[in-house]
Amino acid sequence: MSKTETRTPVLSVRHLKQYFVSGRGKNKLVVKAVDDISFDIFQGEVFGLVGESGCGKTTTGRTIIKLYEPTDGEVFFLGQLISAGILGNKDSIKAKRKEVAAEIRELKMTMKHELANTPDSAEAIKVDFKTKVDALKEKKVKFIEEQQIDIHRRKQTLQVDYDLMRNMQMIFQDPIASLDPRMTVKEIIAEGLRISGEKRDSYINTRVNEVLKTVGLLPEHASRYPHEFSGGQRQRIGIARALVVAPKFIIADEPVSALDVSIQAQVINLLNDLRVKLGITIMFIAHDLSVIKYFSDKIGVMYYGNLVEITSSEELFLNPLHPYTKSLLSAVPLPDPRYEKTRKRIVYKPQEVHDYANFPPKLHEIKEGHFILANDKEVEEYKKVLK
Amino acid sequence: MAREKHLHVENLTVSFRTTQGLVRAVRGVTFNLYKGETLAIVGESGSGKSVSSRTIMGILAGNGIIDDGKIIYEGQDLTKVDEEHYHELRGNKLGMIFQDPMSSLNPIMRIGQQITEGMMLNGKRTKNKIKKLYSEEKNIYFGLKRAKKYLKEDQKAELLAVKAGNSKKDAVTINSEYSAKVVKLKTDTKAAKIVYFKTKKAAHKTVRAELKAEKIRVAEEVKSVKATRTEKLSLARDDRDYTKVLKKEFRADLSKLKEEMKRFHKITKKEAYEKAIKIMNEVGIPQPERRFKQYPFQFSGGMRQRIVIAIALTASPDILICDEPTTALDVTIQAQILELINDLKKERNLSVIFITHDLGVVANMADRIAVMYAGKIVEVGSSEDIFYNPMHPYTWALLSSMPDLESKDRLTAIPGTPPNMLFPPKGDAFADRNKYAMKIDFEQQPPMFKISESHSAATWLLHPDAPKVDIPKIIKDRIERMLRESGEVSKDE
Repeated sequence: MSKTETRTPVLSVRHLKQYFVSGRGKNKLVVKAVDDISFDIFQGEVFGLVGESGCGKTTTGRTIIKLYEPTDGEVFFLGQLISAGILGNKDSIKAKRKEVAAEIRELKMTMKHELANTPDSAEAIKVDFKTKVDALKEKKVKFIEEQQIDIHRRKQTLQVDYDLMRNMQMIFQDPIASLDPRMTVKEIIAEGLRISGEKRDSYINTRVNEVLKTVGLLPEHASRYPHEFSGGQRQRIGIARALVVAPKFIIADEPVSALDVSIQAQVINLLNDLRVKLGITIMFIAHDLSVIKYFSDKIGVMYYGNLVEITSSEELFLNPLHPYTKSLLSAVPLPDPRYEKTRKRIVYKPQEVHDYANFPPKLHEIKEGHFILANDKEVEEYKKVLK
Repeated sequence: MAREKHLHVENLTVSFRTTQGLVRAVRGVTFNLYKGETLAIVGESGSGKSVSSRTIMGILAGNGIIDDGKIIYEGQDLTKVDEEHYHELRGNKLGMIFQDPMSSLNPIMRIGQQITEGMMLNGKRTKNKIKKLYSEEKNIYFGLKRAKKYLKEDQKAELLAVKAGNSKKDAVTINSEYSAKVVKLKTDTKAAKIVYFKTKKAAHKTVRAELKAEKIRVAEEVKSVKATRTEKLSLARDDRDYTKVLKKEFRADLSKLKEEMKRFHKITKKEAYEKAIKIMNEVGIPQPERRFKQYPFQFSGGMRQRIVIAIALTASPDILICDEPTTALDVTIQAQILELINDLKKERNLSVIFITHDLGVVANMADRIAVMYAGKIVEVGSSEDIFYNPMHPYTWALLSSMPDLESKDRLTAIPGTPPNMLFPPKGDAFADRNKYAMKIDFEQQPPMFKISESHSAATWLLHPDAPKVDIPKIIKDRIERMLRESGEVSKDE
């Protein structure tokens, strides 16, 4: 663990928030799909993101690759800021304005009071008041200016740096819906190359054939249409499309959930080979813990927009601490009838387990490389469990 | 102990007509479903597991043909039952839960309506009573009517056999036999017809008499209620509030009687609502009264699957067929749904056919497991047999392709793809993808070899002359570990 810490991360996410707003006024509804998550992914690592459907893991992936604009927080890729939200800045400006207004009001009150007490030095008091207010206002303007500059800096990320972004690719969940049925396999795979400015047909052809071979398909498959392939082969096409621009980082969004068990093994083996051969860093999103455990080095467990536990995959299965992780682990079905007959499923009820009314939880490092979302009281309890 | 067979499928063969030719989806499947057990059918997509279950339900796609085989349920062969009579079985006796809860619910119909729809349609009580009274005679009559068609087909087949020179009989005797049979059949049919119409009339009469008696009873009760009303009202003439209360009570009494009368005739909306709420509670949908009026899109995936289960349960079937009910769901919800199905099975004493491709899911549910590949059952046994002593290479392959929580060894994926069922292979269908395949596997289909009373597998490896093959190491290790953990390692290992 300590070895990887010294390296610079390929991707680091800081306080990422993604809200979806619908309706206006009385009907306004804010869905906090991702609510303040932070993590790092290092070179050559597989980071698994696990959680039930609707917990925001896919949204996280899509926000990182800039399919959505984040509401708040920053995403650094290869050391460069690629996307950032401005809600935090806006909020702080609002807060500052309110604060300054309140201070001025207070000053006015004291001034009036003083005027009533000592009507002789009215002139001096007024001047004093004016200078104080001016200082405050100046401070406010300065602060807002600073924030505006920050917002400007963050908004710069709206323009996509194609050279950088082609290092990041995504594999989608549904191999049927994510391939255009009217395009041949070659067109599908070459699209990314063409968008990134490649014009030589000969190069594109060789590159497509190369990639097809890497994912275990044949060059003659290039002229066929997606419907002629089976589910596993379609997912291979999806992987080939991601690989064609030689990315350094891949977000795999439930690439095996829609596949049969036997085909699943093929795709997982393929991804594993790619990772060893090409040294690609992968962020692997899934809801199946057995797949995640098999494939990833580090696992983040997500629950309703929050990362509740991040740790190495061995550690997670040895010492699951967060009650939600425990409940997830207890739901994994195993091919062992005797064990299954005695299995007790743990049900996670957040209202009963946690008391976050007075002490909101924070991400604590409870052991080297083992982070958990908890408040101080719970941290003590977890520490006891670890010992 | 011999248990009661609930459903018996024998040599079922189903194919689909397509523009490219016949796709042989199911090729001679035989299995039993005993009362109160869960039978799991496991296999890859395209192995024919869904097709066989759909054949049992009688909802095969339009281009599907049942070539051969029998499905025996309560003494009748379901492959020969026509659509009209299937209505009485489907829902009432056989229930089905479909794979995708998104697409098996109607998006523009409220949930409550969808749950009660079946009840209301099947809920004409007097009509059903009449039908039940003469159903036996009706079946005999229509059976004879259908028999004529089969006779003709038989005759044609025999004549063809004569032409080809395969039969001992000659054409003349066949024709005379046929005409004799037809004459006999005609007289039988006539007699059956007379009996049928007689019983039908009698049934109408008896049920109508019952209805009349009920009507008279209710009318008398109404009368008595009215009599008490006038009496009580005359007593309480001066007390206004009391009169009001009394009137309300009487109104409730009268409407209750009216409802009773209606319910004798058919399932009323109110009754269906009550029943639906009860079932929704049973399958674990919170606040059923509120949920009753909502649309499917307002439900999450797990809740939607619960509704599908509720719909299947409204008619209280004996056999529940679950076609990959948890494939579209994630792990926690999957565990909930599996628990629910298990509980319902115990409560209602259902027999369940559970179809899935995930062996992990099955370990929890199944009493017996049938592994299917390319339209055939390749291994069948109790769940302990399949998980602790698998014999067929395909079962090995399925088991070893599952990622394990304990080990990080490379998964052994099954190479290649399932065979194209347009051209079913001559020998063992799994031979192409099987590293243990022998020469005979490509030439001849293996028969079912019996390993123990409950366990049998179709692979040539079990033939006495076959070379000894060890189970792949991954599975062997895993089984040993599993047995060790449950503290029951057998001594000779």
